[in-house]
Amino acid sequence: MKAPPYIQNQLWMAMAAILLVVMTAIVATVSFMYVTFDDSIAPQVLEKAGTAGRSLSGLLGQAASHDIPIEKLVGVEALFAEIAKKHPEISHIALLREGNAVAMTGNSSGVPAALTARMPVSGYESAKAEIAVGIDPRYVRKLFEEMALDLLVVAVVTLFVSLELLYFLAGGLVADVAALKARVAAMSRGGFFPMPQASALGQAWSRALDARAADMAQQYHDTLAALRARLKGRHANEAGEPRHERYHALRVRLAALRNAQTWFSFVEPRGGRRAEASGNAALVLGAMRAPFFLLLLADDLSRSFMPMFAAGLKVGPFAISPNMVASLPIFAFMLVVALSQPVLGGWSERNGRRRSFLAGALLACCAHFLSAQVSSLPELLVWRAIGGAAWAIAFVAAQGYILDHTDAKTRTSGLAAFVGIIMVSLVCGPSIGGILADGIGHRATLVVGGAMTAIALVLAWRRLPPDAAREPASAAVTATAPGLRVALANRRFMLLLVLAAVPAKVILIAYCFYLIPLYIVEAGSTSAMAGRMIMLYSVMMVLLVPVMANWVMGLRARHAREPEALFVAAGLALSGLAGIAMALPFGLLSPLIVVLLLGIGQSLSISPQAAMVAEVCREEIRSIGQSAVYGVYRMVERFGNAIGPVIAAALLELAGFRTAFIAIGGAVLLCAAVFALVFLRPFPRIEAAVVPQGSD
Amino acid sequence: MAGHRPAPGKPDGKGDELIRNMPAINRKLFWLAFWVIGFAVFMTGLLLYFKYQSVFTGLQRDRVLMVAGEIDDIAEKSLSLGQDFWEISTLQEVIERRRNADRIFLGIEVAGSDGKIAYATDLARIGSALPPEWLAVFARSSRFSSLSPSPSEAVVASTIRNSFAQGAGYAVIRYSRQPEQEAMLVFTRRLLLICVTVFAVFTMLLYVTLAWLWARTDRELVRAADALFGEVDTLSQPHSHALAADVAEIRKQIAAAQKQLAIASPEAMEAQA
Repeated sequence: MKAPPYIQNQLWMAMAAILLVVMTAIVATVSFMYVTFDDSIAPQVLEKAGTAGRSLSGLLGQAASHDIPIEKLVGVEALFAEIAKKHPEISHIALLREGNAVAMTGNSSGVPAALTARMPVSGYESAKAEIAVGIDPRYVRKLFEEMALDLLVVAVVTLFVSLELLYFLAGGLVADVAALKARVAAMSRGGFFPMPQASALGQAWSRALDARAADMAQQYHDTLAALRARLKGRHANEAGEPRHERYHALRVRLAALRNAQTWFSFVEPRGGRRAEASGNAALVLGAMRAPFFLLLLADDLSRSFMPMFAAGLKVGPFAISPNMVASLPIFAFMLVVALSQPVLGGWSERNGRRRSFLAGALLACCAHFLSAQVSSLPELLVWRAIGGAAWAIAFVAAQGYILDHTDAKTRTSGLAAFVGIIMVSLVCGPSIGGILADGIGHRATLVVGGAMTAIALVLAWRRLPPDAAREPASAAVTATAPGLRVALANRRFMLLLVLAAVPAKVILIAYCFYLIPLYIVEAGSTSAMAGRMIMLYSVMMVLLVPVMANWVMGLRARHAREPEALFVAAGLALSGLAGIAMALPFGLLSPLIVVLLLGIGQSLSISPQAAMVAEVCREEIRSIGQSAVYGVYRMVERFGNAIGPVIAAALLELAGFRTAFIAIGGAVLLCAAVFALVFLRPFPRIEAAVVPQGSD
Repeated sequence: MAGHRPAPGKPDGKGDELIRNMPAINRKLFWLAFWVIGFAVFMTGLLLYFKYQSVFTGLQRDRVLMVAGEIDDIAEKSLSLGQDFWEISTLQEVIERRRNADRIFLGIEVAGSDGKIAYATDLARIGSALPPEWLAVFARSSRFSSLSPSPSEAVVASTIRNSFAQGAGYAVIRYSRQPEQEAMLVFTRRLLLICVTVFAVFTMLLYVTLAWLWARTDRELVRAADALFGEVDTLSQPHSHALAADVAEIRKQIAAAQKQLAIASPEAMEAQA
């Protein structure tokens, strides 16, 4: 296996150094604050122990009024145990007589006297009776241990954010790494043509490579000129050489030139357009990355608490159950995203990508700030719907920017970076949003989201370049009415949508963004925990989707049959089984199992499902084009996003959490079985198609 | 051999090149370190602040709830003995005694389910009603509830139930948030001090680490640039095997290309040499 290029290694080393220093900084902050925490909390805990002691003393004092001797009191230990169970910071409670324990719960060993509250038992003063309530000295350490998950989340999020910061602050460096890698790779294969130069990192190396390439190109052109001159003068015989020898020598020289032209490249194969395109793509991605990331992050912040926030609002004149109320903001958002899909592609092209993106950012800014001050559900639904429109506009504009500024060679890497931004936002947003919501509240977290969109707007306004002339092949993935008619007439395509695409989205949104956040809070945990669960799903997607996609490609290469349908069926089945896992009595571990299985299931099916569209709709792609077919696919899929939370809310209302999880899981499992029956038959093999990207 | 002649665009001196690039690059690396460490320390500080606030307020609330629970127990026992809610003789004395037991208590009231106050440590409040927004919060909880109507005051309530488990009223304790604010102030000052110190130290540490990595990489790439022209001795070869392999491969390709071009036109190659 070839070792990664030196320059790539250095980038990884820099990332490892950043992670190490970030982790050490977090540990240092926590360690220093541990002492302060301990010093400050201990007196409060002791005060609480004193209150508990006084309360118990008063209760036992009632027995004294009935002249019951202290050693004859019954049920004292059970009472102590009940109190200790309610208050985890209490290590032991003891009823003492002349310093000896008459009744006791817990363990007093290792508890210093300073952490024990003692008070006399009223009515038993003559017996020198006391109540002693001890505080667990490890209480603060336990609190910090509970925070370990949050701190790990902060470290992971910081790493992802630092990557985005690296692109934002030092995008030139990252572009230099790519330029140097490409230049070395080209020259190692005999490519001696002009390519983009590094502007900061390794300028000496870049110039040396450029100089050698230019030198070789010059030698080639000189050789070409000399040979041309020789060809022109092949009839003149100045040296008195015999004709056949002259012609033989010329043939040898021409053969050498042909060899040089075959094995080496001295001119840019696409007349310099590739270098220009890759330069443009890097520039546009660099400019678009930060504002687009901030827009997505602002929206993802609210994912972990939006159902709870909505459930606490007044519904106005409508008689809607709290569970349905909780689902409606997600429904409104996703529905607008799905419905706007067919119109936004053309609208964005007509208005220009820059103007569209700015419009999306402005709308998102208003929607977030105004969502934070709503007092009723209808208001929230209006602003969430506008937020959905803003998200869709920015999404289409950002995607269009990439498609317009890339060519066939650079489009895949451009779209990969685009999907990468979406995934990073989904990793960071819910987890940070959950932590913020627990600390500063739902409304204040929405304001933070609004501030992020405002920064995104300013960055986009200052940094986004003007629109580029579009290449005909760069059409964005949008659904059109004729496309919809033609594509939906294909029965297999319909079955793929109904049995796989829609159920996959229904179960994802219903579980991850609706049922799990509500279930976790219902089980007594926090929005931060809900955020961590969504983050876990996103991290799994980031890690597993490329692995699964490579697995499918490997199987395609090795075997005659296409494994896509099998992967889709297996992914759907696993997603369905995820819901059935809620039948297990594991408390908060059950949603964790759900998320893990759902993550594996979705990562198994996402890429193969998109690839199947190209196979199932081969004729339609030929007649109406790939973009139109994939536009229909994405639009229908997004309807699954919209109806997911509504279905979950209805089931939750009717039968409770467990049944809602199991019912949705069972239905998806059934879809997987029917899908397997219909699609697990060999298809005629086709070449792998380039699948236009789209992501939710 | 072409490698021995001066090349266009070749750097004249390694040091000059490095120094010329330093300030701009250093600035970028510094801001990168500044924001990355700033974000990590800010988020950690925020977490610690939230945790301290929730633990501190939780401890105070639990402390007050214990007393509310006691009052609630006494009221419920009296109700179970058939006493009328409005005529529990011991309750006024109990709440006055408990009012003095803790310095953070501002007042204790026992109100009926309609919010009308029946017993209060502040006698002037007897007969008046609890704010409706408090009642709405109390009604949502089966036993204990809490709220903060103002930055200086917090309230906990325990629902009093009669023998039929129906809500008969609420034992309400108002307590001061001043100790919490004072503790938060002290904690925040200390947190700020530590965060700023950690931020400053680790920003510099990350900056120095990145600058060192940068300089090392750049030096190595300058070595590779020199090695590409074959002008210098083996000491200037890149230390990295991967980079040395790249240089060797590129030189091999150049030599092979030159060989073919020399066959095609030896005159042109000679003229260039």
